[in-house]
Amino acid sequence: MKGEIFEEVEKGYTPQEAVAEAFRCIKCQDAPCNKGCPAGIDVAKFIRQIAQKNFGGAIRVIREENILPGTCARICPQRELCEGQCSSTELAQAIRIGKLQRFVADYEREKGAKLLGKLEPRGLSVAVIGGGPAGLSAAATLVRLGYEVDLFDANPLPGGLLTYAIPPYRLPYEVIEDEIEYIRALGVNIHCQSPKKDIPTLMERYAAVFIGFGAGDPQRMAIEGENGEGIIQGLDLLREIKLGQIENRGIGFQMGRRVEVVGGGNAAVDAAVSARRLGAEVVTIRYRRTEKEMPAWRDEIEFAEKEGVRLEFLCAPKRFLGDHGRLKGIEYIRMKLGETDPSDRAQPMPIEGSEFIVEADTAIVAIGQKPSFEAIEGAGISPEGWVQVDEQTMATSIEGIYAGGDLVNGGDTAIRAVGDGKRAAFAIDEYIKAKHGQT
Amino acid sequence: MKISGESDLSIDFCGIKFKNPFVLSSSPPTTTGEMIKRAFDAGWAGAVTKTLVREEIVNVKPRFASLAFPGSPEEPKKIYAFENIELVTDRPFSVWLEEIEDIRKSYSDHVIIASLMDDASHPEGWKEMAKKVEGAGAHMIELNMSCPHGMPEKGMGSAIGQNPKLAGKVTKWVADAVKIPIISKMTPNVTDISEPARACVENGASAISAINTVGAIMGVDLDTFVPKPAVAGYSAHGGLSGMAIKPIALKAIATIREAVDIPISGIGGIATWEDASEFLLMGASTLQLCTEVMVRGYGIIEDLNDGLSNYMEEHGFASINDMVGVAQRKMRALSDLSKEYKVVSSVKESKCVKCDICYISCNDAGYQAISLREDRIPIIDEEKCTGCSLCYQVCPVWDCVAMKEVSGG
Repeated sequence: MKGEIFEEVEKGYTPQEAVAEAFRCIKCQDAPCNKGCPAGIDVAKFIRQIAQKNFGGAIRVIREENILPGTCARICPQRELCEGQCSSTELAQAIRIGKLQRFVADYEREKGAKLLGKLEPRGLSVAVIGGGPAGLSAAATLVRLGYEVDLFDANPLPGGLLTYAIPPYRLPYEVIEDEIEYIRALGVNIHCQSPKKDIPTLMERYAAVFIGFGAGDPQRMAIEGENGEGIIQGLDLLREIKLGQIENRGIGFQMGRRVEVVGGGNAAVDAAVSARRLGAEVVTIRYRRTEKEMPAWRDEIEFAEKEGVRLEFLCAPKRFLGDHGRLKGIEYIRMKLGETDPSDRAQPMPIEGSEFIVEADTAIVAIGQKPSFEAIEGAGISPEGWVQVDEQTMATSIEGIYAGGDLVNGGDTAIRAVGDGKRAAFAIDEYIKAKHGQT
Repeated sequence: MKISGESDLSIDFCGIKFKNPFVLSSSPPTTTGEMIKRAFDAGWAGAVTKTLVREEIVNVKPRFASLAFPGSPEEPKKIYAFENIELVTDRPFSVWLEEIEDIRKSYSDHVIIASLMDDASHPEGWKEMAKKVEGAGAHMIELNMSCPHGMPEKGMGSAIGQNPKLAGKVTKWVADAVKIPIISKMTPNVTDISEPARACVENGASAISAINTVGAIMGVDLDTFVPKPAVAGYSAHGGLSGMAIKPIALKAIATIREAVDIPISGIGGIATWEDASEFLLMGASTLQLCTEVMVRGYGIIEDLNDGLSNYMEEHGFASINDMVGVAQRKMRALSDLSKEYKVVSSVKESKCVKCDICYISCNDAGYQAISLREDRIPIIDEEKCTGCSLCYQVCPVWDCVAMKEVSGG
């Protein structure tokens, strides 16, 4: 079982398969795939390079824009991004861009990675708070632009959710570990288990600060029995599984026979698949809207269904039922879709008197996370509760403080976080040059 | 958002610096000055104008035919060879002079080469054109003595290049008339390409470019019985270009390099950085392209530069110059190749897809050294195998069949 949960599901391409796949590309002049990438990778170019067996050139083109190529190749929702735009979809099927990117990333890992170039040192330092994809991307770009970069992360290992939440069967820890090693080799000073920083102190030492500590606090449902035994947070489960792989040990969580998963995002789906792989017989995801509104990606949902996860829609937990504090079942209430809310999704409404009870040994709650804001007091916050930034520069309302990733978008892809971090780094460079002069 | 640079791709060719070895050949991609400027903006280091002549030119329609894998949903169309019956420039010489002058003014680190043509009985025509393009600022002149279609009927193009005496004579006229370097462009439609090349070098050519197109007829329309391309019910000999002529060009470059010690501008089927690298290793030091640009546009320069740069880095070449001729030095007379060196075929079972192709080939066109096991895995009889490599050539899997060295050498 341990092997099953840790082993990567998707197999990589051989060189011949990669070249054949890249050769299918019809080389559209306007390259719609490029427009689909939130990190701005020149997808069309790296496909052409692979078709011409220029693997070294391809990985350089990718890494120039995305410092986490092997990671994002595995976890990007390509069907929603680059591959979703591919013209070949109309001919046969979209070029498997994600697998091509993974091929060159793996190829380079095997051959030994070549470091990207750096500009001359500028003698100024920038602090990056948070070692997830946004922070890593910002830090790598800044160090290449000639800054001394200190990256602070609260966890024992950097990587954020990449390290602690994406299950090993989708993203083995070695991949993110190697890519973080690459960022270290570029010259970023990574400080782990770093205590909370307060901004005014940081601003004394650093010319600018990038904040990308994500949304780490789980959302609470505030319903009866929420803290009972047998009820676990989706992220806690995923973290334990990842630590199991990293520390090469078994998983500390005991899965019951019947597992209920509450939520509709990727974390809910990952937790449900993991529960199956940990031996649960019946795993059911219950989501309060319909499949159409589920924030989880189609590929993820289809994979979960293949793994035997059941999906039920239009119901929400009303209370957890326990026996001496130990979970026995969940009382749900049926929902119907009402008015469309500002996020363009129909608002679920409870149907009075439609309550029903489901037996459960384990409940996994994965209804989203929110950021903890203590560290950026004074920054503008959006009505939805996220840090507000200028979309182009990622600048917050405080001078010299930039932010990106889940912290500002409420939880989106790693690739978007990578794009945020990179854009912020270039804006920070402009800001510092304007303030301190060109040299 | 690029933060750092790559390998130095520059090369000195006849004392002129090219920022990379890639040059547009005298061809449809250099039909006008405006097009050449766009190519320079895209990153091409130089361009040879479409050939200038004194007489007025009228082209027939259509002028192209191609040999292509037809393409399917699973695999896009791939053009293996291109035939054209297009003539030299149909734009006035005076307009070209203005455009050359303008390009020279607007682009300081790009090389503009004027291609010229006349017949072998008009020394004054050659000289006058050469002086004028030199005056307009052309860095070099390329002598078109190699066009295989249309112009030879009038005593021009390959009618000159196929005759070493005429080729030498024309080269001398132009070399004596101007100070800028002269490149004589060779036709492959000869028995021994080293003869015209040597004649040109002896008469003042600073470089040789090779090859022009290969005489060809692309095919026959089976409904109309007219060869391709068909113009109002008839066709004419044309010139073949594209990847199909690359081996002919590589051989021509090796032969020329063996005969004369002079810079070579390699032409003929270069489409990718791999082709480019092979031409450099074979002894060319600048590279001219046309057909791939006709299919994919000026933008291919990005892939050419990047691929070449990456290759140089991976193989430790510090400059283009270090690559030039490395492979040509490994050419020998066949009689000098080792007879003791022995290889036999070996099949990697785990890679075999059981297609039987190696078996059929060896059985019907080889030495019956392959038999099929019950599970259709090919088994090599090393006693019977003569090491010809036919099985390796036909195997559809990249790393399944290998020719393994056996003792005895």
